[in-house]
Amino acid sequence: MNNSNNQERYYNILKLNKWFALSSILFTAFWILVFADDFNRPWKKYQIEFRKIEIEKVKQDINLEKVALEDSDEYESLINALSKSRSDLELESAKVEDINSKIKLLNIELYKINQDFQFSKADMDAQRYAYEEALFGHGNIEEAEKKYNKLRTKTDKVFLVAENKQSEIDELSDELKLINANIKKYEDAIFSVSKEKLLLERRLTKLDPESMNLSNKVANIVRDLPVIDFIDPYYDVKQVVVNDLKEDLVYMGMPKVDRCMTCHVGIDKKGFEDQPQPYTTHPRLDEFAGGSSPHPMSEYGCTSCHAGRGRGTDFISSGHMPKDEIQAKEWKEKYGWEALHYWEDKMLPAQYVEAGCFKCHSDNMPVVGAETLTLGMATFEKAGCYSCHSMDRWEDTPKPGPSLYKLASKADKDWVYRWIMEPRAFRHNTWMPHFFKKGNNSSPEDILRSEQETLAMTEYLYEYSEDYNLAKGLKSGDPENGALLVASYGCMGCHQIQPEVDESYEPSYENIRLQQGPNLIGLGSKTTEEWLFSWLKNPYSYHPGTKMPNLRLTNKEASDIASYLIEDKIKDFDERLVPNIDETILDEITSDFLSQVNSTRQVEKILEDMSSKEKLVLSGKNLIGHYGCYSCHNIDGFEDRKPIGIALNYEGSKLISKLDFGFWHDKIDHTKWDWFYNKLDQPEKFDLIPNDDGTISVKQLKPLEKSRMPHFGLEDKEIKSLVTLIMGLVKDEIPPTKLPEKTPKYLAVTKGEQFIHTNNCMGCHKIDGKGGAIWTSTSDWLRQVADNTNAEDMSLVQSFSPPILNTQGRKTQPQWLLNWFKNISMVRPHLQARMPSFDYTDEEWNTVISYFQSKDDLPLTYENPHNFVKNSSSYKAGERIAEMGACNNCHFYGEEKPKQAALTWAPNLVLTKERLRPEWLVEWFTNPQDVMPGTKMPAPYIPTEEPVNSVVEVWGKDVAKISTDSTKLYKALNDWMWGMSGRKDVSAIVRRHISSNGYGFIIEEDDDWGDEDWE
Amino acid sequence: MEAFKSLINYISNPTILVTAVIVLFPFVFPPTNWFYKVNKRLHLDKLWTGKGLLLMTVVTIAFFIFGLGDYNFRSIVLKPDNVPISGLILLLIFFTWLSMSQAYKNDELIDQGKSVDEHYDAPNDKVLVWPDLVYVELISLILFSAFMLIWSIGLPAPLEQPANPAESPNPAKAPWYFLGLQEMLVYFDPWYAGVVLPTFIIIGLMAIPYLDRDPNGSGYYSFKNRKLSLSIYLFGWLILWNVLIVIGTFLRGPNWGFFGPFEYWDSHRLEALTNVNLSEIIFVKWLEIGLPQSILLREAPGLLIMFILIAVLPVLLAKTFLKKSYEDLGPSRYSIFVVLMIFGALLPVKMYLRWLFNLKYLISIPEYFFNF
Repeated sequence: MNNSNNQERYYNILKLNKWFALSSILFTAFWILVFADDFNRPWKKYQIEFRKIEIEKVKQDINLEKVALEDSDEYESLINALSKSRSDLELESAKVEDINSKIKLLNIELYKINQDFQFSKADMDAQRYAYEEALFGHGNIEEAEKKYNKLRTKTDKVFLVAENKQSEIDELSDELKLINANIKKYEDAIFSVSKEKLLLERRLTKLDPESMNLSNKVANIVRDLPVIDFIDPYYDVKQVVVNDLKEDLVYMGMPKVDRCMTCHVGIDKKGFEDQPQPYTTHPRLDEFAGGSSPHPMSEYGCTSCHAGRGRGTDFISSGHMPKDEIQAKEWKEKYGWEALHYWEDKMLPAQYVEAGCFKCHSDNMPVVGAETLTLGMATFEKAGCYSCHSMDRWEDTPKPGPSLYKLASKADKDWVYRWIMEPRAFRHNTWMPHFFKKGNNSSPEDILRSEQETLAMTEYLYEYSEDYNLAKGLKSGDPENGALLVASYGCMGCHQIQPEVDESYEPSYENIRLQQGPNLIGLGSKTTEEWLFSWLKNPYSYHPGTKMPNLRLTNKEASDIASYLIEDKIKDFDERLVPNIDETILDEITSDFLSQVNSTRQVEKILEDMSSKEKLVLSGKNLIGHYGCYSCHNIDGFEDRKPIGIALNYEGSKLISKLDFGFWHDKIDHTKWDWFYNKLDQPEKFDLIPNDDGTISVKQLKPLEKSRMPHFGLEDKEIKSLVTLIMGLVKDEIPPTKLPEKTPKYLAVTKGEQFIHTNNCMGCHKIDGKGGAIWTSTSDWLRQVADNTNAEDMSLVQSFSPPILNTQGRKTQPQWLLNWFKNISMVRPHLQARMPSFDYTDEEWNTVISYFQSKDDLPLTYENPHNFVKNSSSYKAGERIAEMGACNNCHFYGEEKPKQAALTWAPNLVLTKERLRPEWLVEWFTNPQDVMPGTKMPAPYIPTEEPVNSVVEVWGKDVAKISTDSTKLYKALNDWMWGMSGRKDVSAIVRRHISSNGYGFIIEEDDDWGDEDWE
Repeated sequence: MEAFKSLINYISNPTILVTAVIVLFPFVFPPTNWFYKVNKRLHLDKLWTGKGLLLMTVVTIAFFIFGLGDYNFRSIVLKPDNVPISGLILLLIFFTWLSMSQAYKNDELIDQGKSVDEHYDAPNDKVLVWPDLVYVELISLILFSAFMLIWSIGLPAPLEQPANPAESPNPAKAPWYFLGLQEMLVYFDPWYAGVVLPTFIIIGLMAIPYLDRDPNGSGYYSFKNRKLSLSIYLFGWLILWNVLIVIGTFLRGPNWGFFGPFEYWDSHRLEALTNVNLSEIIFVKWLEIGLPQSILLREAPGLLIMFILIAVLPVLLAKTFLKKSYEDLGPSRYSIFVVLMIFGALLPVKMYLRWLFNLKYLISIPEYFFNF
């Protein structure tokens, strides 16, 4: 302490002053830094850059408009007319001036008079009150009345004067208007022609400082200055608030606020398609973001589909996620990107973006425009994911695997053992997954156990297999004919015969249709000819719920097909060893299950009393329950079991902390989609331990603790599509206003779409250009029965394939269609492919019929029958048109065979009146190609263009009466057809004809025309 | 490098870390004359010179810089929540050094018969409120505000995701200043670690001026004259409070498991929980007669120990080691002092009992929610 001297102060005040100065400067500097930090927002540079781009664009557009106007004659003539009118006006300038000065004077007078009137009126009103008061008894009535009347007269007088002045002014103004009328007219016309350009120019004055006037120029700078930029800045955080979409903040829902457009400034503006991110226009502006699209940004925001953190205003805080390593690297360099750790719903990376569609459009199948999601949904259904993982969306979908109730009659035990052990060794593209020889059960001990487990499951299946009486009537078949039948009857709409892996196979929604039924290889190894015959004759007798329909085969046909399919055997599969029972391992397996409810000593005792067979059956049952075989197959004793997997309804909303990355935490990116990808790619992955040297170990797990999810052998594209679907399974609550409106049409169409997908109608039929997987097989068949030229003729392939179902709802009478579905009869005589008999309920058929009708905007109503009078003029006209158009070249008229060869045969016209709707027929006749592109049916020739005289001569008077009205002519044709009677079922005639005469294919042989085919 | 990291991970284990700190403590802050001599002989008092400060700071900073090269260390230390704790370590070193170096300087001055730095000569040692106090306070205020501004810009508030009851953070940590208490929860029942002990701490701190009325060394920094009292205080402050905060911040990971500073925080790591109560050790393990039905009988060993600790030990100490203290303080102040000391010492003792014998509770009466 230094207070012995007389200094008053303990510290040196000068030093303190310096400290004070220094700290104040420091404080001020940091304070400025705070403002700078606040001012210097990361998004600003994007808006500045976008403004430049936009200015350039507007300038360009103005130039384009300018050029267009310069080229426009209209504009030029208007300009000329305007300048002429202006020069005309010059001549009358003296008059105009005169009028203007008169008006000016009059206005001054009017002003004065108006004032007089107002004052006078005010005096009068006041006096009126005084008069009324006098009447009431306060004052002199007479005097008041006199005064009042005087004032009233004065007011009226002044009013009159004012009115006259006003009309004088109006007259003069009208005169002036008349003189200026031409100019106004041309100016208006010019404005409407050059409106676009003017709007653009006005826009430019708001955008481009160079085009602004001085005060705006100053304002443009001032509005964005630091600190005062809170008032009305040009550069600001842009956002949409969607009140009815809520952000789930657990304790409360907050309206969705998306600020993405703060940087993605051009996202909803046309014309920036070629700009780089973030300035570019939305790639699907017609569908999304655009004001007139079904999903406008202002109503749906951005994160409702894309996910991510909508309130974020920089690259990281908005939750961007890269699609792959390369993009991640690029982002790290460019933006210092890292995943936004504290936001659960990160933005969906590009490859999974369609996940966002599912939350609203899960009813649809397919979701049009979302190919990946659709493939995911189809794969999900095809692989039967829903059978182990319950999901509301697929609640009523039938089990994906065949019934095993009557397995013993179908395959032998050894085959079943080998199949369960390794399904893809038998059929390379089967959807039956691998439960064994996976990463977590492939050690030698594991395999020994797997073998015994498989034996046990096989034993159980056989022990509880029902008896099945095979159909009788198998003859020795002709495999060659069988092959032809398989190619032509329609089998290939759902099945393939593909012995080797198709390397070029590309998973797609369309291609999945070919896998509706199994790839028909190795049937000789799998089953017997007798069983196959029986199955072909009537699949429903083996499995009432099967998707395989009845093709109404004769014994001969079924025998031929069976003999053909049974030929194929898979040798090395048949040679696989089936092990013997190993009592020790079997005991282990059995006791694993027994010990779940018994003590060890009890287990020992139970085991002692059990035979090997009993052990097999007991463990078999438990294993089937453990692996969940019953989820996909009907198995005796498992009818009421719940599925083994977790429900996936909200899997996409699952917290990432609930996904166990196990020992892969630094090998797999920490995102939900990467976890799902890896889980699907290798379901047992998280049972495994990656070692530093690249080898893999398995966690120490007891057999029953291991991951059971089997291997489906999915391809990358399939996995990604499934991940897209899973990421779409979110909990978000969507208000009905944001969902597609649930109109009766919507409900019927979506229900029908799903039914048609599940039952693979489009394996055979094309609807609106999609489907028709069978066409390749038709072409193959044509190659065999005719030649390459025929096989490559697409119109021929089309005519021999099941019909295109465009406009089906408008086309057929619903009652006929229902009857026909339930009792199929021949419609197209030339067609080999058969509409199978499906065992659907009335409700299911109604689903199909109302799907077609709703799709075609035809409400299901009762319709009046078509009224016509036989031998009326219209009827006769129809008859004549049919005659002239030679309908009977291709069409059956009852028993009467068409004139041409069977190749071109078309439906029996006798059927028309009960089958088709007359309105549709008019549509059809008008342009068959519109309805069914590629059809061989020509539009009926009608004389609408011919002079009436010649029509009378050639077509007769009945046609001539209506010859100018095509609709009437077509209706005449309808009348004629409705009057037709005769044999409806021509199948016997057709069969006889084709078996003796063939189709009459045109086959070119060494320049020698096969004439006999025409006879 | 990796070997060094695993060594650090190994010695960060609480058993070793706490033992090492406890063993080293009396040599750095000698409570008795013997330790004081050793302290001087080992030149540990050199720590309180400028060079000593430099050494401690450099070693600490060097360790942090080295550590930052490691992903796991970096991700924990640079978490915005944890940055203040790194600062706390440095500040702790500085302020401990400041007081100790002043104390040692004063000790020397007293040895030389000179007056100490802080000697107060009333009434001449007068200082004016303005400017000597207020002006300095104003400057400090401005500097501190400036510092807060720059910190808030450089290290934005560590906002996390919206709270979600379905997902509590793992590890769930108390604010840093409570981490010492949270660490105690590992060893004690919540009512004791969370209620009784903090109350004792507050009472103890309030009691200091009444217990320690020794004018010797009062009013200025000194160590030599108050070796024991300062060591006890510093033990409580540095070890039982701050070391536990540092452990809680940097070394406690998912599931409150213990992780070395260079270890990955694996939330799947399993810790074997095989703790037993004293009654189980005695009746089941040693006597092999099973737990008695009666709660009193069952908990008799623990209650006996508590009785000894609270009733017998103070008396014994008063007659032996602390005879002098007893005489100085008188019976009432002595008993308060000694009970507080015993409860303070129980903390590390209980930690050791846990580590060595997996002891869960000395007294465990879950029937009445009483565990100790």
